[in-house]
Amino acid sequence: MPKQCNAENSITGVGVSARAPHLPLILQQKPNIAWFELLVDNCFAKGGLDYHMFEALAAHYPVVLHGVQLSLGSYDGIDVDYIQRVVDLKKRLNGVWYSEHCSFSGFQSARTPDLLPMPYTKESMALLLKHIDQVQQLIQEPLRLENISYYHHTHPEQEAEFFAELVQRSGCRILLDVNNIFVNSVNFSFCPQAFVKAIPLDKVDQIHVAGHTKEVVDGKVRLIDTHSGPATDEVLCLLEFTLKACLAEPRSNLPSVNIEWDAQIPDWPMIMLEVDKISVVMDKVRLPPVIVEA
Amino acid sequence: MTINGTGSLSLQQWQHQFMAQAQKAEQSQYPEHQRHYWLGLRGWLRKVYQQLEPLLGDELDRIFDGFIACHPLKSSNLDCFEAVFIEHLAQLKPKYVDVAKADYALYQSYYAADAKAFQFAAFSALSTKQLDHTTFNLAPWFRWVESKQPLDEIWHAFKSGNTEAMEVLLRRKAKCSQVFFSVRPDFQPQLIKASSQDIALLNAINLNIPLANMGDWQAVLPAWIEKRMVDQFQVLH
Repeated sequence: MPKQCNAENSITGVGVSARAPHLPLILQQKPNIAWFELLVDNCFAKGGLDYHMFEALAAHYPVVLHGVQLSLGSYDGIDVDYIQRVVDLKKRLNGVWYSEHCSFSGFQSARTPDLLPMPYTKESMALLLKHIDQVQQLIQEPLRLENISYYHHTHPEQEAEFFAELVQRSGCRILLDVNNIFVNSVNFSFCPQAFVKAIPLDKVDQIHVAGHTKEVVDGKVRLIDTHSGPATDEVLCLLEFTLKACLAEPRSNLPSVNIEWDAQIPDWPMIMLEVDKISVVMDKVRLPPVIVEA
Repeated sequence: MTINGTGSLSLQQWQHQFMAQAQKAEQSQYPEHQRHYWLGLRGWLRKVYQQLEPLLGDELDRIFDGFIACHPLKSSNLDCFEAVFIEHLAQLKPKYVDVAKADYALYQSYYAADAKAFQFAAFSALSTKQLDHTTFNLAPWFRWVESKQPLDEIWHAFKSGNTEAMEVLLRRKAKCSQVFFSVRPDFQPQLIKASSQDIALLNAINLNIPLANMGDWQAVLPAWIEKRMVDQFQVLH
């Protein structure tokens, strides 16, 4: 399959987050996948097997770059060296775009390998605008900003409005994670469709889908964003809703959709089944409505 | 924007509170984010110290947790965090420290930069006088560990999934320390036992001793170049 991006240097169709256990098979069999998402934090090694496999993957498929360790919302500022490494990587792998989360992962001398929510305040807005501007100046293009899942917040109902305003004011674009929206909607009892409708959907370039797990704590259902299984039917429904809503916007194509599977990673054929499932949803949305004559 | 804010918390207070709750060892107000912190760090340590898992079983998680409790994560650069674990292990399980050192060396070898192609043409064009003044560089992935335990055999037993053999080999101790190299001639790091000539050559290279003063040790140099353990040379003026 030749490496192809469209004229807008964008990507379409269903992509997969490339994970180390699948790389040898992908490079050998070259499965029919439209594009791959690479985790930049896994690609910073200066050499070795992973380094060469990611290069080989990027030589054959379009790739988008995704990060988890920038800590965009850190009060203490962002790590410019980290962004510079992303810039170098994007150039080396010819990455189509770079995405990061609307979150923080550290404060002063404390760090966590987790994505923590920002408070939805004017102070947060100002800080994120400043940091997104810094990132966009360094990468010389719009950042793709992703909404996160979280488990504690004083005002979860304000997230969609905050996120939408941040996108509009910063000039960044959106990586919309529908699994995160669904997980938060159950945990904080809000309408996931209303969340989607509040987002400027003309700015959505990519959608994430993933699996989550269910726990019962004190008799209450709690969803955890584990990325440890296939996307649930509810998440696929929300994906379909989102894609349809995107099509209603003034835009030329559907956003690309990416499958994330990070824990209990299955054999590759299972991932292909997920690709087929998502492709069915995308095809369904693309089909013109059937007109029934009286 | 109609946002209501966070009650009385400033952004600094909000972030401080989240981090404090995530890193807590005892009961946290934010148990999911606490779990992500502890499981994330355990996962990183487990990825580095692979041989410890079959040797220590469930006890390993308790050791990791004890370490994480004493060493809260301070940087997204994990090198310091991961390396310091060996010191922690030395207090609790000294018998396993050298195995952990071997794991760390292999881990570093895996992710290190590639060796450069040795410039054979330029090397063979050197005059005898220039050769006498030539020093060498180790490949970026070259690491070594000293131990009285047969680390190479323990590692081979680990690779073949033989935990019983690992236990037996751990009890076997040489009279004096031996040196083991962690090398990556292809992409998979290997642990090999160094000969006395290898050790002498390693010392000579580390001390920038030129070829003329290497004596008999230089006999193993061609093999090192072939295995890309040495990847560059320079002529001292």
